[in-house]
Amino acid sequence: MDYDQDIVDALDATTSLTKGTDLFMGAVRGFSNLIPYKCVFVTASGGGPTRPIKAGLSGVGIQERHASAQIRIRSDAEAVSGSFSVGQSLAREVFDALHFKPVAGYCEWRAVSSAPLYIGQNEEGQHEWSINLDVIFDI
Amino acid sequence: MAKNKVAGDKQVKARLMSLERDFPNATAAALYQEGGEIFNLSQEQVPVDNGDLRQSGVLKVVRRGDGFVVLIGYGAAYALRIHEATEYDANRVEPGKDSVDGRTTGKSKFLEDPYLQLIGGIEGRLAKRAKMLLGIAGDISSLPDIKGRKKGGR
Repeated sequence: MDYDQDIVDALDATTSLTKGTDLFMGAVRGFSNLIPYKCVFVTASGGGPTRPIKAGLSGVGIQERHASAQIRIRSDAEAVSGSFSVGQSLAREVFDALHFKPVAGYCEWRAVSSAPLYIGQNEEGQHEWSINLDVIFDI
Repeated sequence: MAKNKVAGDKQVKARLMSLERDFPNATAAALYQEGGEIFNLSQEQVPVDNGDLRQSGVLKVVRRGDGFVVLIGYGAAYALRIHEATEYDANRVEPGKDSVDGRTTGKSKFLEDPYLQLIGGIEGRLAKRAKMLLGIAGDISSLPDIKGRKKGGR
């Protein structure tokens, strides 16, 4: 299941972010003519072991997967007025769009923390937040 | 396997009282041991440059309400950033291997990954450990806080 792609699609559909413009899949990348400072990256980041569970009276065996995704939110350059608060608002918007709001095909999407984690400024001075999402689905 | 045979209400009462005294100690010690497994694995995975981050690691058991909580974490101010910064992993030397060209060893998610790796089945392991430790474990003061290592000693 391409759950990182599904998260990107969900964010594209329900937030102010636009896929390929300020919303990207994969590792965090630096500013370029294709990638702005203020943007969001979604990365599949492993997760916990698969859990075997039994379903129904027949005891049919299914496996529940607990994958995890990391969503990184980066603010505008520090020189831009209000970059921290705008970045924080974006992080909260992303959090609210995903936490307990799985799309069809998933049991649950659940953020590990109660709010986006502020992880400080990067080398170029942009503020960054991280959201770790438990992505639960059956196979 | 522990077996206890008692006869008479005095023995039953004495046994129940010893269980009441020993069970919390055994539970705390079991938590400490399971937490230690996560902590040790984390110490192998944490990025090491000069060793400050690894040394800021701590494992301890504390009393909370009627129970105990095991705390595992890193106190360095930049620990959270390093933990979340997955983008640097490509330039790091894999945990457990020797550093090459001055690159740091280790990886991001150095606490989350060991936790996820070892959390499966923890209830059963805790119960087994607590059973083994019943009557042996001392109180919480016998469980010293453990600090991370500066360097070496994988």
